[in-house]
Amino acid sequence: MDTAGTTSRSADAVRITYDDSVVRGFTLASVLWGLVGLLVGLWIALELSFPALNFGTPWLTFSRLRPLHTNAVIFALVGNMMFAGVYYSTQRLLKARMASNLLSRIHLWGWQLVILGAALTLPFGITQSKEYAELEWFLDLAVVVVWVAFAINFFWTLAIRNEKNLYVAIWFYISTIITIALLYIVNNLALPVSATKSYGVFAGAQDALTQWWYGHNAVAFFLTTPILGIMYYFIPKAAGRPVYSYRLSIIHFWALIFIYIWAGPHHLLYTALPDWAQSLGMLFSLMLWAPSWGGMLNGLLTLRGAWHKVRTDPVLKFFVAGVTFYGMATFEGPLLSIKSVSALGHYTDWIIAHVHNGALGWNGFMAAGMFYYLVPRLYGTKLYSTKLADLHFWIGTFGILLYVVAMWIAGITHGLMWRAETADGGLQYPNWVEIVKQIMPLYALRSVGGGLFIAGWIMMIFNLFRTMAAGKATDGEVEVARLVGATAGPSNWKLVFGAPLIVSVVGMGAAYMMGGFSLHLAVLGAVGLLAVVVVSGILLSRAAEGGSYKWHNLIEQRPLAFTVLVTLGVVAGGVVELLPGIVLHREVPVALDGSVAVKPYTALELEGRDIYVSEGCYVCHSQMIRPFRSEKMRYGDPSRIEESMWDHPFQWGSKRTGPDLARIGLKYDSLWHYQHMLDPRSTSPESNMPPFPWLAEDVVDAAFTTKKLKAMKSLGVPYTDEEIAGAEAAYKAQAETIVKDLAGKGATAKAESKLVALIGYLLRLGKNQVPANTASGAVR
Amino acid sequence: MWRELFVNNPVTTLAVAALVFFIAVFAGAVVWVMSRRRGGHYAHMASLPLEGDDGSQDHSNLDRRGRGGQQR
Repeated sequence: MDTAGTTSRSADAVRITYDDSVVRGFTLASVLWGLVGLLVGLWIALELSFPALNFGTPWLTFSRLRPLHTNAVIFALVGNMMFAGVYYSTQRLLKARMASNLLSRIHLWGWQLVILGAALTLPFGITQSKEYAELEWFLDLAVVVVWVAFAINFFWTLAIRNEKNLYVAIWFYISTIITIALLYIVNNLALPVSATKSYGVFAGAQDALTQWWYGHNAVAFFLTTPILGIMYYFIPKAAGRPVYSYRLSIIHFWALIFIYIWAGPHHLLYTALPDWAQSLGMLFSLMLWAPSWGGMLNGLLTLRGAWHKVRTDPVLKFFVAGVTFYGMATFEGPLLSIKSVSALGHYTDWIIAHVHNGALGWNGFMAAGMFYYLVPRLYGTKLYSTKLADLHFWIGTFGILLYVVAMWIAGITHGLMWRAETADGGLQYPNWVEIVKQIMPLYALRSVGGGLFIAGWIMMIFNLFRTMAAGKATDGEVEVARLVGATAGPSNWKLVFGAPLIVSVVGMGAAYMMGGFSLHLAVLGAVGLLAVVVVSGILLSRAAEGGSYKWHNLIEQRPLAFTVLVTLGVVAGGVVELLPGIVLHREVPVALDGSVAVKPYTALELEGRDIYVSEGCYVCHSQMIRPFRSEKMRYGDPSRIEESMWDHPFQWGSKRTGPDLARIGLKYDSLWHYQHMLDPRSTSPESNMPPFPWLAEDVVDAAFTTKKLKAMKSLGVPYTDEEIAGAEAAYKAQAETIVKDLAGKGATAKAESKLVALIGYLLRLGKNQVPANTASGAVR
Repeated sequence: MWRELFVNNPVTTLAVAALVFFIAVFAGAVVWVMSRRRGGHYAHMASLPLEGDDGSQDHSNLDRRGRGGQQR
């Protein structure tokens, strides 16, 4: 342990100097990277109103910068803020300095290098295209190394703590560390084909389910659980009062982490994902209302008797508003998970409103509250200006509300106009641009709201820097009683594998097996599962009140037992939802005429698809036609599950700033795509799509295509050896065909250009045959 | 009877029933938690964040009338 000189010991007491330098480092990183992430967000918001703002430059284009914005806000702003809060509160709650200065530094600087890596790759089209998991394989490895360093340091500190019990904040941190490791590794399993390119091991529906299991739980376990831990530490601290109900926090914690992990499929309602997974996602999302609001109320009620402080203390103002935004976002999330609400809201700006409700209101305000609390203490001085912090609060609140309300209206307008029909049953707004025009003023309003939030953030940076300048970096010191001796009571084994867990596992197994017989039985199984929870609770309660031992009190003193239980709790949902898709045999679908219904992409189409991924087309276009009348009329037949079975990665998308592209190949010819990519307004006047002129100049290395086909084959795509050997020649032949076709229509293109490959891919979309054993889906 | 239930109930009914059951269980647990006053049991753990950096207990957890909160 490299903490020499920071800890002095006597027989019973130990004097500790906390490692607050790492807290200062993460705080600075959060506010500065956060500003970058927010400014990129404002820039791309403006690009939606003024698409020419990309100046014809690839790395300034909306679709390339949007992943940078989301990753910067999630991993740089919130990530660094979360680490600052975890390091500060963990040391104080455990009454111990972090176990290793070295690991703390590796974590701090390693994380910043990962963020720098993201900033240097995403704008240049180096991406996996999976939302919030866009980083390519080499950066994923770096993330894992840094996360492991963090985990070792954290659990090592638990082992050397001087406080017997783990406070509720620590439970949330444990769940974050375990679950993010699990999610990140599984979702990013990939086969590298070059230094900067890889293909994920999952494909199509399987990939979609894995991605949204990750994506939803990145929100849950990166943006929510650690911030709840911070809430449970900093609100009592700032209010000077203990948490309202410690018992409620126990229910909040276990219910939240167990239920959250199941809710991912609500991102895929009405897609080609099997119905059982969609229903499971919706059901568990609705259940989330209860623990989420339980936690919110526990946070707010902690202020009982201290509400008068909110008037004058900016820290509490931000915390109260942040927790209130959490309540709003966690009400809205389950609401959007109801299938009929999702039918209206999904793919629209309503989702953007929901996301920013949480990101700006919950994460942004909790971050601001924590920084206003921390920085004066970390620098041994008072906050430079309370009035400026108050102004930040009001300008930020107004900015968020303006943003969210504008996007609510835009989203609902979008959803209603997409489905609006004329009296004779046709689409009332068949022209996409007509819909876009309606929401343009709302996009402008959103930019104003975002701009106000950023103005508040800049005020905070100024305020914090003046505070730092007035003080001097100070590390907290404390003398505490040394914790000696083993914890009394039953062994870890007996605690973890006692009757409650056995009953729970048997109950879950039974519920799962029932699901194998019918959906009705699966739902009944869910009811049974809840009954199991009740029985387990009674068993635990009896064990406690019978005087033998207080079960939860004991596991709070056993980090190992606690961590095992958390792991079991979060693994359950993932296994039940993901396992069927992973173990199912992928049968090559056959059409009525005996040919392969879904042929793997040709060499040119595969390269075109990689360009589609690299340019970030999925950011604005879905490839998933839902089974609604309006969508069938607008885009064609609903998407089928086998159509994306060779897609590594899937491209179903989550937002339609532009129309769905699943069957675009049936709609337009090569010339239309050519003109549209170079100047979108030449084919779609008033479109807000950016131009992509560099695609006509940039070239594809066809020799590399062979390697890509080989990689695809090793992932299960049925390419023959002949197809792989002749990939380069086949690429050139298909490219020449497109070039000739364009030439016949008066357009000039280079066969080796990215534009031709992309056109090849777009022309292919929607041209699969219907398998012989596929029943036509009902259209709603 | 069970067969009747499966055959005649659309899946949505059972899903709603499962949800209502869950909410009832959760609400029951919360009421149980809030109704039993055993403040001393969790008082130590609940007050962990209130300990100052110097190891002292922060006694500012009193309201304007000088009352401390009842730990639930």
